[in-house]
Amino acid sequence: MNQSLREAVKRLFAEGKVKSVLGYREHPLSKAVVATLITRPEDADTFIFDDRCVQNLARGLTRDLPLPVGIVVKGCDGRAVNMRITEGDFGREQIVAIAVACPGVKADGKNFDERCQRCEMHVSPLADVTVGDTSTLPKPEKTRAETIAKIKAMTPADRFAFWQKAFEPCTHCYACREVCPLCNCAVCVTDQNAPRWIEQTAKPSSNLMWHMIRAFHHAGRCVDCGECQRACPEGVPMHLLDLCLAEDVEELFNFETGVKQDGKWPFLLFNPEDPDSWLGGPHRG
Amino acid sequence: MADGMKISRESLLAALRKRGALWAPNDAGHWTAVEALPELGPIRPRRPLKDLFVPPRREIARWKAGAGPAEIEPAQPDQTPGSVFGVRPCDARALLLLDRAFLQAPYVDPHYKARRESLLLIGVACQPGSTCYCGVFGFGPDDKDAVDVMLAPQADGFVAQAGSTRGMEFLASVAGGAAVPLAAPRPGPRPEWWTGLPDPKALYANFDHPIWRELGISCMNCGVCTQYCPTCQCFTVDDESFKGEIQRLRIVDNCQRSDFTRMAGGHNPRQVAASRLRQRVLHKFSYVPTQSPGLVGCTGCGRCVDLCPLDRNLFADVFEIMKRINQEAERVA
Amino acid sequence: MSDQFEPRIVGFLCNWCSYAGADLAGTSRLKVAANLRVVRVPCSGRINPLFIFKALEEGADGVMVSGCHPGDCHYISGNRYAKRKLAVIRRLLEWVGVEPERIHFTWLSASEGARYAVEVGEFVDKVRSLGRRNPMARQGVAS
Repeated sequence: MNQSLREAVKRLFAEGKVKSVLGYREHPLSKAVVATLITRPEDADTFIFDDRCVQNLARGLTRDLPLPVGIVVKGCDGRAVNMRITEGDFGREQIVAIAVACPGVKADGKNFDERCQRCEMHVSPLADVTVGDTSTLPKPEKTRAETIAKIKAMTPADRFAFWQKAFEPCTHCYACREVCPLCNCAVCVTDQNAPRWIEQTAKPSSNLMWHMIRAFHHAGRCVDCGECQRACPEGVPMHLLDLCLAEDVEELFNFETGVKQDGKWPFLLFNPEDPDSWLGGPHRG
Repeated sequence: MADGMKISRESLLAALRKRGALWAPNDAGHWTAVEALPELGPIRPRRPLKDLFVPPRREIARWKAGAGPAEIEPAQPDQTPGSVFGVRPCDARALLLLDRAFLQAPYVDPHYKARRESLLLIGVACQPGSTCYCGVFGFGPDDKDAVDVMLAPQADGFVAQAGSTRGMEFLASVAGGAAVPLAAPRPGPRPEWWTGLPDPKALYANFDHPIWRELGISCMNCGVCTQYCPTCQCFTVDDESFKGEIQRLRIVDNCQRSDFTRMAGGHNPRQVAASRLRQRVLHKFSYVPTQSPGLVGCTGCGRCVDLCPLDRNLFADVFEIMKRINQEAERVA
Repeated sequence: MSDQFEPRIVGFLCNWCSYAGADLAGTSRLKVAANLRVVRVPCSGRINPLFIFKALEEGADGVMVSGCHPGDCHYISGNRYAKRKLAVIRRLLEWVGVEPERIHFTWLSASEGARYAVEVGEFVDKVRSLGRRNPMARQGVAS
């Protein structure tokens, strides 16, 4: 895999299709897998792809990179890039997607990540070049619905207690925000202080408000890469709330995030057939 | 004293309880009030010791909104005597750096001073892990110089030695201690590729070097390193209010945030992500040693390495920078 | 019984239809439950989810949003966008553990003063029957 990846990257440089490429390399000192940007074809020899490549490189796409930029993407990463294109951060022609056949990654070094066990899109839907054998990729072992079933089964009081406990260790470090490829507001809502919508010190009210607004901002945009939860130093399961809303978005709007770059996204559109029953509640039909 | 003092857990606990409140790390690695001595892990807990001295949210005053001038009640410094059990040398040495920020006349922080004076530090020696780097800074897992008492865990208690006068007084109050010989202090671990602390002046002289941008590619400025660093203490002042009750707070700030240096008017000298990584490295390894010779703004606790979501290693950054600077200097020479 | 608490409801009413409908209830001398505090917005599509979440955090026992009937929006389609947004807002609040009875979304036209009075009354009754404040309500400045 490493060899074919390196050759594919070198070919892209030779054909003048990229000015820089984002990929993974093994750090020579710490031996950890880190993100790297190369601007010369010979540096492609540092590129690797294996189950240690857990990071979502799409968050590294900034407009000051030499464009067009190549980017090594797993399935989830490629969907994030699609969303960045859909939302107008980049033109389609500014990105060259190097899709790798990803069977899943192991953040703990032993077991496939929870999200990988559910993954239905191992290969990026945005693929200018594909590397690796895509015919032998694993099928999902469980569904998103199964993952959130335990919350669905809880009463309102139990749900509230669950989330209070889940968010209690949150220190408002915002690592979840920084690693998310879709968190790219020029000024984050929690940094706005006129008015101060979300207070930044850790306490039950602001912890809940931050994670609720975060989840709402991701409704229909989250690509289930799970980086937020992996980045959290306190183990807060905020991604679970993203999954809950992802189920709703798919059910209500029949929308699968990040599969296309056609700019059609549920909250930008409406359908005159949208039923009033969506407004829900005990007063509605 | 040349010898250590063998004491039991029970007699230690009794003496600590007699002194006052007791703080220790819990299973989640947070510093909490405890009634008994917990089982500790091999190294420092996830949250740094600074939480007890520079809490993330510290009330400094409160008042009520209403007609007429408000009566402002300043928060009183907390002088409650107590002890902290489970302090590791890296966290204790980090307090010396916090002292530099908060105890320097004429601007002494009364809250910090009160806690420093009222909390006894009971150190516990470590079994260093792969990301422990205290050896880089010239001390090791048994170091007693920044704590009041250092304990070496045994099967049936501890071997204690005093690190300060007040530690000596405390040990005198612990019942049933027997003198035992002390083992020699172990050297601290460091990365196998480490060649030495960087030259603070050379680092600063290379402020505009392109290597900062290269290193910055793999950093997302999430700020977890700064949040969990035992020496980082930048703060901001903010007000929070609810239904007419207003608190003025000192809250932790984070130089890795994109808006840390954003000013009214919108100018932001550290807009570029790599410049914030550079700030972190220079502050710790160049500015602190330059302003306070003998000190470095880091104690090698390794939390930044463990908790970085992007698997970065600040020490590897420093090593790479110095290697490049030195190589270029040699070529010129 | 002192167990009965009087709920405080915040209602976001769109200026052109719902607010006018509420006004009609007033000029018709209809009794409307006093529990409702009204916030007038230009259009239901202007509703930022934070309005609803903050109202609950600040202690509202229930939140109501009312806009023009689909097809009648003064701004043509603001209420259609609102429908999608409000649908997900409701789902999020339910995931988090706020009882569904506390949230009421509806369409009210400028002529439906009587229906406004009835819907508000029924909504207040529903919230009152829950018997307690909403769990999101903040207790104090440090909580």
